[in-house]
Amino acid sequence: MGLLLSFFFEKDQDAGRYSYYGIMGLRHRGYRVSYAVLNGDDIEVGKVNPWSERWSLPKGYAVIAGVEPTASIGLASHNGKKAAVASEGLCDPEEIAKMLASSKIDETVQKIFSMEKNDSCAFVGLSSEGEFIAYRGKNGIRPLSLGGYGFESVYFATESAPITLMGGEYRYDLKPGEAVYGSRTFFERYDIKGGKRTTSLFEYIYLARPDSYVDGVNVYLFRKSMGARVARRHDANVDVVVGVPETALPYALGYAEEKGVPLELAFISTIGRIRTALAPISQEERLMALSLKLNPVPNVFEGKSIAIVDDSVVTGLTLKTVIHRLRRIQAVKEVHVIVSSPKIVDSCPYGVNKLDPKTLIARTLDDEKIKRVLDADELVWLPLEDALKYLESFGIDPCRRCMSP
Amino acid sequence: MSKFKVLIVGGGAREHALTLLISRSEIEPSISAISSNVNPGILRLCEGTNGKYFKGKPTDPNDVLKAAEEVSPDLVVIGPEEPLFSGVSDTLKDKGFIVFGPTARASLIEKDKGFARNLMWKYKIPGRLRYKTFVDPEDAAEYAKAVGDSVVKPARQAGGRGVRVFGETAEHLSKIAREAAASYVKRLADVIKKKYKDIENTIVVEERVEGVEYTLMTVTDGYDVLPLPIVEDHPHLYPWDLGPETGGMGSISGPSYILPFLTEDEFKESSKIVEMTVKALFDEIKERYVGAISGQMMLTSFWGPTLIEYYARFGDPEIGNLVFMINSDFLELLDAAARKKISSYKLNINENVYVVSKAVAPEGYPLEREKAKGHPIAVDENTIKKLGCEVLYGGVDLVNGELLTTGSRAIEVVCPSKKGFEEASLLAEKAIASIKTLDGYRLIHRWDIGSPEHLRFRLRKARLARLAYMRRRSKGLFIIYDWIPGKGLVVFDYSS
Ligand SMILES: Nc1ncnc2c1ncn2[C@@H]1O[C@H](COP(=O)(O)OP(=O)(O)O)[C@@H](O)[C@H]1O
Ligand SMILES: [Mg+2]
Repeated sequence: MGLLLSFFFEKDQDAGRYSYYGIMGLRHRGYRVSYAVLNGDDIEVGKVNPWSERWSLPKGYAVIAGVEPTASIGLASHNGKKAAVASEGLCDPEEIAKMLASSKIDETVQKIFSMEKNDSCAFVGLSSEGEFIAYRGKNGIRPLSLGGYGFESVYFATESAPITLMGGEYRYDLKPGEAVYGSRTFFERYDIKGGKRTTSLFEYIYLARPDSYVDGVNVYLFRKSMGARVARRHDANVDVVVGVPETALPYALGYAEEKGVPLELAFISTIGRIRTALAPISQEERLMALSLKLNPVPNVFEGKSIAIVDDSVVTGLTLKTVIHRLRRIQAVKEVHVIVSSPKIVDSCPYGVNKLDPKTLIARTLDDEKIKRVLDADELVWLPLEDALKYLESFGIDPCRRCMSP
Repeated sequence: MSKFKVLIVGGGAREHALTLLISRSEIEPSISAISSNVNPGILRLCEGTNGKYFKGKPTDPNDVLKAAEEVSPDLVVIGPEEPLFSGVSDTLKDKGFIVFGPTARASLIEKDKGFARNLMWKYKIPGRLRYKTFVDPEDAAEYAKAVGDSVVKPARQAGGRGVRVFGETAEHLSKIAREAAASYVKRLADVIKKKYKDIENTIVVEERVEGVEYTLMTVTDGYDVLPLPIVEDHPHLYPWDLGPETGGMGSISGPSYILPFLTEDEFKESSKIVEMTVKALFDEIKERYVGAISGQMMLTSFWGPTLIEYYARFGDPEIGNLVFMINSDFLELLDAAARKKISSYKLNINENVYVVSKAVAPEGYPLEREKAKGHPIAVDENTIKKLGCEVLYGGVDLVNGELLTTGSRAIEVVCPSKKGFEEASLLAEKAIASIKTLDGYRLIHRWDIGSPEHLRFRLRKARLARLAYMRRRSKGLFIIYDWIPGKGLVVFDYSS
């Protein structure tokens, strides 16, 4: 669920040490990262868990990485030339690595763009001849930002925060249908016209960090604005607003600001900022983790009408836990559930997320039943058109195949 | 009456631009030149004005003197920095020639980055940075490790190579960046010591600043300083300001004296910095500086206009832009400077033109130069002229009728537009399409120079830097306090 490339122009620099922070900047996207490191004309691959205590990357002057399970790495070699590719989407990283290893990049890029299954894909790659490539498919589902660190290096990442964390300055977003490839001695781009900027809406709503730009859009401001927009569509009076940690906080801020109602912290985490929805753990463990993330602040909500703002509802598990706790411990008067995104009713046909349709509450139950399950007095969704209008001003017509219209 | 004769020293794109500007003079000079390569652009202008073209080492005072004695020029114009450093100006002046270009002593302002920085502190010239010079690389490495967030430079001007910026844009990178800087210092010192024996210091380590870069070129006779329009160079090899440092991959200028991302005041302050420098130089070495002196500047959040380095010459590619901006007689200007009569010269520029220049380099420049050498290259000059652009030949050599690359930036195209940078940039793209290697070898250039995206990026950066330095100024904060727990209060005084 995320890609990274770092390439240093002087071979004395250790890209692995900088990329460590880039990978840390992607770990909100998943719990396992595969990487390939270019050292001399050797490519070394491996996997790490960036949430674990001690890990590091091998030495080298260039690194690619992909966050599992949606991203993976492919390796190939041809007449002594080796190539590694980390890709996201329906394309086959091994197949692309083979192409990169066996012919000139110029010719290969054309061929890659001509294959339809690569349209929804993004990838980054390295070759043992010291070349790098970054590719964004024609429909632009997966964003790819570019940045630079002085005269030292060029960076690519799915969102901008990892670039900043590696010391870089975010400069540009590849256009759909654009590829950039280069080395210590050349830098070219391949740009096919007519790509569509259907960047995944899920990126803005949930996946990206709020301190990132995604395809030119400031994620924090997007989320605040969605919070404000849904507030405009919600007439009821509330005494206080809370956001469900962590992702929903900017939405809750936007909502509270628009309503002119105070925002309060309701829950404190005992296990840090773990992303329970993405963690590779059993249902039982997930529930335990959730519980440890949500220890309620005492007294603040007793007898009050509250708006609980969340970024999205997938299984409904988190919201259910939150509301039940507030009802039980603080006897809140009314609970208005404010969801700052449209209903998620399907898994992603392009593999941006791997949600199981059977677990999606909004796909299976109508609003009345959801309210009963959550024990909420009111349930409000952000209309899709609000998100579309906002992103339209950035030239983005986001992909929302997993959401209800 | 015999013709006015000029001798140009040097054979790069800068000297081609100078020759072109000089050739337009109403004085109708006869132009001769000396360089180690044969520059076809300069050669043509020499032939067209009944001048001579000498093959010789521009850095060797004897070679240049021989050419001068043969031509007996009314004015010698020295283009590159190395002939200045090696005393070509001194030798010629001793023999009674009128020379545009400072003496070896005066050109220390470029040659020795430590000398330049020291002068700025000693004479309280604004726009100065904290720095330290080193003879012993071990000391330099230790220092780089201790201060952090630094820039490591060869103390001697090394042709736009060797500088590396070890930015600590975030504190968690400090350890990595400092270790990289320290190990680089030692390697750089080895290279520099082997290559240059004419300066004691090897390394300068200075504080890193951020902002927007630009060049202010001026002409001076040591009394008055005449600023030329500001030009912005692009030192990164690749688009989006990515990639290794180069001597400059292209530049933009116009309209008028100031680029859109700078203000009138910033232009004046930059001029003031150069003026103060010329004066300080006189106080320091008791010698009038004659020639071009340029400030490679950066608009930073601390000082506003800040000096990165001086050139004792015109910038390359920067001077190329002026081919479309100077209306008045450029030869008269250089001659007036050399004869210390600049105060009466009135510079007239084209106020309404946007100019974009772009350099074309063979793949391999600058990190793997050997690869970049010896490729046959062809330029369709007619097509480029029809676009309204100029061609400037740089790192090429005409050998037995064949034009070969020498490993550096080979050719620059310069394009003007009345409408804006975007049009000029697109014209330059078209012009570059008619430059090709005959062996199919890859040429590289930057498509983004002059593009609206790039300009927007610059404007934003400049605006942020301006907000910050204006705030600092309004409060008069030129003494910086830092608190290091356990060590105490550290004060950096930029005011004295
Ligand atoms: N103090 C500094 N802070 C930040 N960047 C710097 C600093 N000094 C130099 N640089 C960067 O390095 C480049 C080259 O440095 P410079 O002093 O101009 O050396 P040269 O051109 O001789 O290689 C500059 O154009 C600038 O981009
Ligand atoms: Mg410089």
